[in-house]
Amino acid sequence: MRGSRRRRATDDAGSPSPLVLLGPRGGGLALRDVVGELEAGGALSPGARIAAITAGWRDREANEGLIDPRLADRVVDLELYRRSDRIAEADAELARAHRETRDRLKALRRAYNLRLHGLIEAHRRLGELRGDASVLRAERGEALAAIRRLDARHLDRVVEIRSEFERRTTLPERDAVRSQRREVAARLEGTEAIVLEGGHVGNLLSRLRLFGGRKLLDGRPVIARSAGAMVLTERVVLFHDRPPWGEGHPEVFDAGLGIAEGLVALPHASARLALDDRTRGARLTARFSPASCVLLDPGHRIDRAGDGWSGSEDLERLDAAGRRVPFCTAA
Amino acid sequence: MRFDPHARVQRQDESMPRSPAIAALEARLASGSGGADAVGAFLDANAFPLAEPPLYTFVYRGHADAVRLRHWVHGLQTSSPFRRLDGTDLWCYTLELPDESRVEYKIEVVARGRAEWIEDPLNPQRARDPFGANSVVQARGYEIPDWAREGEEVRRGQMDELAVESETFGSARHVTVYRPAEFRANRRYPLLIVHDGGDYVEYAGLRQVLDQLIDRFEIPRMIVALLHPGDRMSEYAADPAHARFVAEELLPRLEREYPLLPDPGSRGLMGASLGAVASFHAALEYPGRFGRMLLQSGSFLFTDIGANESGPVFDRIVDMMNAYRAAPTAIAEKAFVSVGVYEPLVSENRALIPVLRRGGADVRFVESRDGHNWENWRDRLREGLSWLFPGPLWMVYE
Repeated sequence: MRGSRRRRATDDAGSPSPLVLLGPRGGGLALRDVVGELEAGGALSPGARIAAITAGWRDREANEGLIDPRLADRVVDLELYRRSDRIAEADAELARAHRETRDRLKALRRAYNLRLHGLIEAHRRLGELRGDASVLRAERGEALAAIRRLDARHLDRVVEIRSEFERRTTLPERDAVRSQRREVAARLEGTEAIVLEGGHVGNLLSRLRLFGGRKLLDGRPVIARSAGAMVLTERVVLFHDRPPWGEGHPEVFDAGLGIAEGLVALPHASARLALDDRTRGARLTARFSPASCVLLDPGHRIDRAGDGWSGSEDLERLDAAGRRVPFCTAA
Repeated sequence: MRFDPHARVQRQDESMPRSPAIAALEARLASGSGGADAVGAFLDANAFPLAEPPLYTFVYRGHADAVRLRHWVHGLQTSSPFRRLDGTDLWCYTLELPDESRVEYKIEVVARGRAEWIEDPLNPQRARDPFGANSVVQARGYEIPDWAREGEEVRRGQMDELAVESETFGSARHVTVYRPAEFRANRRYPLLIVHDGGDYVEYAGLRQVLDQLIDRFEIPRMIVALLHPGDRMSEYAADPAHARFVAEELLPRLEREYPLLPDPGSRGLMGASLGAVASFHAALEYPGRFGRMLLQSGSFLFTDIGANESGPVFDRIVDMMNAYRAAPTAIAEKAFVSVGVYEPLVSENRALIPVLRRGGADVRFVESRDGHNWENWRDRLREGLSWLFPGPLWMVYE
């Protein structure tokens, strides 16, 4: 039984294809079970071949042992990571332009984080100030608005720099890219669904873009796990409140492919977020409102359902007060 | 003896805190209600050192003229006498330890005019070091980190042996190089050069730590060069020849042999005790070459006034530190410094922090309730390495 929460969720093409977002492995929910459900519902033919994108695993890509072994003989790995290496080897000019863009984005990210941490610290300390409630409420609101403005500007700049790279390099027209894309298209033929595994979200997103972005996924049911789910949302948010080197604050990384609208996907939420800290939770929710911050732990699942989402019974999200509440609870 | 970080004089036996369990045993012995072998039953029923946090009681059974606890906790007397329970051959000593403390020790048994230092026969916990092994008492809250253990499913790195020709030393130097699991020649990696690398591997589990932290994405896959010193007391004590070897001979050789990232932020030096001094000195002699430093319990001796009285081996170090304290420079972009509060070098390491910051380094300083030993240095590696070389954890969601 699943709760439901209304969200506009169809992609630009108005594709009715099923879209399933999964939490990390474990929790009693195997990929094979989801595929079986899609088969039973008629979205997939029995025994249908499935394309896999495991670029997030980087050098472990196409390691069949990591995919549900019960699906191993039906899975065709598109090997996007390995192919991107081949493109870089074949097209030195593109590789150089990519490195330059990566360095620019790195510099931008450093500057963003410097500013972000300052703004978050200011917001945190304002929350501790005591005094005239109406004055402080307005100041806290403005501090939060400043964080939202920074997040939005950063996202704009990332997209701008990346678009400039794509424009300058005329990416789809380059021989090495076209050749590898053709091979991917050939591998896709005869497959009925795409599994998007997790891993390194940056590597996964960049490889997806290199091979056509959302066009690569159009027209087929998609099952996406962890980082795979993150890249399908409109905005990829990186987070770890307690990394081993100290404290962390969620940061906007990049625009996602925008197929899963209205969600901020937070895999491993229980392990990576200080969910007992409501101040942090409320700030996270407010930064990305009206998108819903979904806590994707092992075994959790969320399905596109018409113009909304249907979550597994134990799926939770953060509400405006920073509390974890059932996903189906209205804000 | 109550723990007091400012105490320099051990209180006498009468002020030793009383263990409730020992008091109960003494009561049983006095009343004769404990049976023929009350002491044996007591030993069978308990693990030792007997933990009654914050009290920890060390116990020795045997005929002796005196028994003492020998430890290296700065601020306490290194030799603390046990008390023999009346009418028995059971000796005990109770110490109050703050939570999360970890203390290495031996028991000194004096019998027939001869003193012998032994590992505690009642305590299976041991820590090894180049001089042998010590017994270990772990106070409440201390745990051996899970990331320092061998992980069954953790992908293991490989060790290469390298002979590095050195004009400076007039002979080849043996260096062991850790290559991470899934090493690819077409990738580029950060480099960490570790002083006393063999000891770090042997006594601080460095290989397991690297395997684990890389596997958990907490540090990036990296190349780690493990140095084995020749005349350590000389070479690591701010010796220009050693710095030259590291910067001008070893580093270029490693750059030829391995695909390394070229920027200083991807190159680090690490060491403990004199090894920390050698790291610091090499970075100081070659500014801009090494952007990351991990310094553990460094022998950063200095004098504010007067001459060095710690012995001639430290003369060069004192000169270096006095000059640096007078005019600090940016020897690395980021420096992680750790020290145990139970070791004599705690003040020197604390004093280093503001000076490093004045020089322009981003510094993280961590104190632990431990001493000058390899397991203390092991336990700080996760925080230090992941701060200096953050791995892709932030980006990985499997």
